[in-house]
Amino acid sequence: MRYCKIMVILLIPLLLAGCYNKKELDNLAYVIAIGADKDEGQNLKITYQIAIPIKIAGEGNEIGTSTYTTYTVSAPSIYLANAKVNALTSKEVNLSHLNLVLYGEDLAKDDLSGHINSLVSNVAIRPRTSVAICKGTAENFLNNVTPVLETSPARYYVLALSSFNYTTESAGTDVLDFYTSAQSPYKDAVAVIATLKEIHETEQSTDSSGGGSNTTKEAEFRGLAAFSGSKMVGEISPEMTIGHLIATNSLSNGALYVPDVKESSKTASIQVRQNGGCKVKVLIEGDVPKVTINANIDAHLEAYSSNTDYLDKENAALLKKEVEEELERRLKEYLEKTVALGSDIAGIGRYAKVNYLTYEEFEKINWKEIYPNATFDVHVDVELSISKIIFHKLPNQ
Amino acid sequence: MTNFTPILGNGIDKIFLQGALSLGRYEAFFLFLLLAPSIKDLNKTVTKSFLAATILLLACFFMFFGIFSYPSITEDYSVLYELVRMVSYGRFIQRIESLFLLIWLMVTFLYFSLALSLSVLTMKKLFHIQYHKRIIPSVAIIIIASSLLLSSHTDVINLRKFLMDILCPAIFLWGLLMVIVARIKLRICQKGGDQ
Repeated sequence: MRYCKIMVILLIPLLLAGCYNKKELDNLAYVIAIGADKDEGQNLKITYQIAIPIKIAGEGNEIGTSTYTTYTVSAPSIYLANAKVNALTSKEVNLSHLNLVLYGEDLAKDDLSGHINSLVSNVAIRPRTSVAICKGTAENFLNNVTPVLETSPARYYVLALSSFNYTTESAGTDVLDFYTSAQSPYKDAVAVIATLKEIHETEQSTDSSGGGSNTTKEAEFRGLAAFSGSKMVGEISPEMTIGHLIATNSLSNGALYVPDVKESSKTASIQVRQNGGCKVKVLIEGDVPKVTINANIDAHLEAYSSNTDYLDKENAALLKKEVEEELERRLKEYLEKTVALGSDIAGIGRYAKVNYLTYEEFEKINWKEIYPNATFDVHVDVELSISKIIFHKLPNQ
Repeated sequence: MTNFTPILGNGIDKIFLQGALSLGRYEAFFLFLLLAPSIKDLNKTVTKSFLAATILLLACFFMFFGIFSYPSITEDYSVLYELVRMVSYGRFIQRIESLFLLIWLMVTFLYFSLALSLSVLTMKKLFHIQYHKRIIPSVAIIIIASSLLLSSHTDVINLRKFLMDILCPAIFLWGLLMVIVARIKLRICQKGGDQ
């Protein structure tokens, strides 16, 4: 009885909320993506991509550009832009379903400080909202992007931006990681690059009109934008992104090809996945950080176009060595690119600070100044499995 | 794990000396002094409570430091709230901080009830009130009305800063001083009695 009384008393506060400040779901405009570009003076050109739920769900649902609408306003910050867009739309904008924050390349190369802070402090915006840098302007991207395989543009961004889980040409970047990395004295921020790709589709027609062609613009999230502080300093190509995934222990599933061990004109396709974290050691000699990286990768031979018998142990060992050399080459190429850009997006500085007892001692070495002098010794250990593969070749007919 | 390094952070002096100035944040333990007459086995209760609170706090801060890196961790975060906001698994397990807010609301009211009952018991002892339960609504109204005197959130933060950083350590030190003075007085009395 006593416990019942206590439970009733504890549950009473739940009834205190009331419905005074209620907001109807139908009265809100859900923003799924925000883009920001440079504008005149202190202003930014902020584009809101708002989902149209009635076009997404229900009978006669549509795909493509008709599932969303965009509004572009000029304002110095997102808060003021919200106020302007609220005056333009019939519904109040709501940022709780924001899936993508897109910055134009010009703005990213100028300075993003001050803009990203407002996203982190906004309660409605999730900390795991993706950040991307757009080739060209974010306004053009958001006005023209055509989700094809998805009816819901929000889900389109979520799926497209999580493709790093099964590809090696993209990486996961979100608002919180971007903000903490940009502030950090031992790491730099990174964002995925978004590009709008035109796809021409020709329709065939049975009548005399000869058919027509449709042009859709699909988004491509490939490659990385490297930052130094809050300024974009360069790009990492999609081919080098596998190095970033290995260095940041994020390689879930990827593919690469290596030359065949006997017939160099043919290739072998390998599926790769990281096995545990990289072991990184940093030794600082004067102004030169000497970095040793040991990575473990699980690889599986998926396909090959030659007649080489990979069930033979010698051939398998040679293939393993090829894969190791290829991964070491790509990882080293990526790290050297980051050194050339002066941007420690892999976060090697995290391993350097392990050698110091206090932040004061670590900050004396000025990691971001000495990172461009870094040298790398990279080792990749591959566990190659050759199984579940059909070795009987199809006869040429 | 690299988020936990350098192991001494900003230095021993800042951890212990500046940390000592934040002693006021643990003012809840002071409540045991007021609850002492009502607790059967005080030592056991205090030890268990202290251990439970330590383990929970350590677990929360371990997760917090592991996820948020320096220097962004020095900003004014609500630790548990920010941790819960990070939870996002699949399509449906998202935005679960609204569930946690219900639990935190219940905890807040529990704490308020405890503070109210201790205030009433203190008044009972001070003013020798026989039927102390009758003053509970009055004291509750006084507490709630006092809280409404602050007109903005900034006033709340400034008052909290004053209470946490100045008043609470002063109360801790005052209590310690009282115990020391009482011990000295007891020894003087015992020596006087022996003579």
